[in-house]
Amino acid sequence: MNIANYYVKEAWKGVRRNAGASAASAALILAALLVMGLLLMARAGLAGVSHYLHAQLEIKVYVEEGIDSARVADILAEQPFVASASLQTGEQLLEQLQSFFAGKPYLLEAFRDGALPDAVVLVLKEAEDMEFAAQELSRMDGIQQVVYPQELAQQLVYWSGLLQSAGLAVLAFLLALAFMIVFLAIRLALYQRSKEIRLKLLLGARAGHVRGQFLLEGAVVGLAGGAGAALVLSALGLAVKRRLTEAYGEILSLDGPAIVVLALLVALAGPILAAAASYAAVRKRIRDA
Amino acid sequence: MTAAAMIAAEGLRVRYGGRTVLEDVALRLERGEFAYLIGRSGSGKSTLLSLLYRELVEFEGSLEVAGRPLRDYPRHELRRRIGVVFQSYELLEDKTVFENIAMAGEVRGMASGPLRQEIPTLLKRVGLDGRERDYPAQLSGGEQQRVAIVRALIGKPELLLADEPTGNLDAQTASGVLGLLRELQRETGMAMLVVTHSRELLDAFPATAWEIDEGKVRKHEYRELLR
Repeated sequence: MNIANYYVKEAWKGVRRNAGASAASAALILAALLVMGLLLMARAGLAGVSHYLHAQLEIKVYVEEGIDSARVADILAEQPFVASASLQTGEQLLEQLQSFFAGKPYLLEAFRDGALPDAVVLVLKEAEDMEFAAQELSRMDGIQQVVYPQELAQQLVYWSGLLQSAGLAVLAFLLALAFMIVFLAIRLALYQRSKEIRLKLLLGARAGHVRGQFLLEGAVVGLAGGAGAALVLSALGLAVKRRLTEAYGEILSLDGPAIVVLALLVALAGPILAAAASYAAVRKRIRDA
Repeated sequence: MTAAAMIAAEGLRVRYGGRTVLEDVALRLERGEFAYLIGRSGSGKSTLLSLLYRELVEFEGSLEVAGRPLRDYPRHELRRRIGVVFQSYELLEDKTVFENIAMAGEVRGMASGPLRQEIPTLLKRVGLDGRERDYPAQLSGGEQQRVAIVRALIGKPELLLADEPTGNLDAQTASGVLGLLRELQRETGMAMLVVTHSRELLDAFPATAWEIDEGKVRKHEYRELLR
């Protein structure tokens, strides 16, 4: 236990001795892990949003100019896949937008100036009918545009996939950079303290203990970066979840405890990454005979 | 049954760089014995010491420490049984006298309490009372060497190796340091092997000497040295 205490103290002294390098390493680890956490959170959250959108039964149909929207609503109500049909006038839509843009009247002005078209709002019997219904409605004369949530969901999935790929590339780059920075910082520390290391070994220290000291140094730096990323991630995740839930209800599949667990995993990833980099740095430099 | 010798070398041979540094060396240092290792520069004195504290590991022949083959020792275990004092003191400039000495105890797992008691006592013994908080740069060469001696003693080693401990010191200081080593050796009963090439010190503190010449060893009894 005395030896463990000694090397923990030595590791902490080492971090303080190379404060600049330690801070840079921690910052880079924070950035990398924050990106990782955001990607994971987005992936998990979007799955819920996509599911929510896929479960929606409502579809909006915009009719061509000059056609009686109310008559179209009556016709569409008789379609076998439609449960109900109603008319949403341009004025009604403007009222909805007023509550959406509450506190930002300047955003609403653009909609006031133009005439918003009427829309026929259909509620389908089954969510699975959505694609078929959209195709059928698009082929009908007099229908200008069909808007349905699943189309948005498909676009969401497409763009999120692109974002994930780009995000993974950025993440891989940041993780590699963070690994390299810690590796170099520990190598620098080894070089700066080569006399001290040699002396400790001459005085009877185990090589494994001396290596362990540097692994601990790396882990401390990694924990600082990981903890920082975890804090930012938790705050961001919980804030976004609160806003989305207030606006749309429980559409995210990621709940509060899951966000916290994810943040903790990110925090743990920090010392693991940094300790691995430290191990690579000291592996062949401090040996037992 | 007699106790095993502290150092027992037989047929010891060391080659590196294509050169035979030690050739068929036979040497024996008993427990509690003080002896010198003497010889010209490059004769192999430091090589033998390097073997003993496992800085150098390749050798042929037999070499035992405290009755156990050197090759059987894990390096850290051997070094905890041996104290080493170097010509260049090997103190860390950014640590205080106390911290330099304490490091030797800490790597052995000694608790801070006993170290805080033992270090001031030893410093007082070597004439450095109250100097715990000084840094090496604030000490003279002789004082630094005394700190190095205390550091070597902190783990209560059975054997102390001193590699030219007075090499960087003036004659008067060198005599003081060697005298201190002799006194400490008598007080603690540890075996001690001191490397030196100073004739004056041999005359001042006569003892058995092992002379290395062209890789071979010859033993001189102290009476012979006085002649």
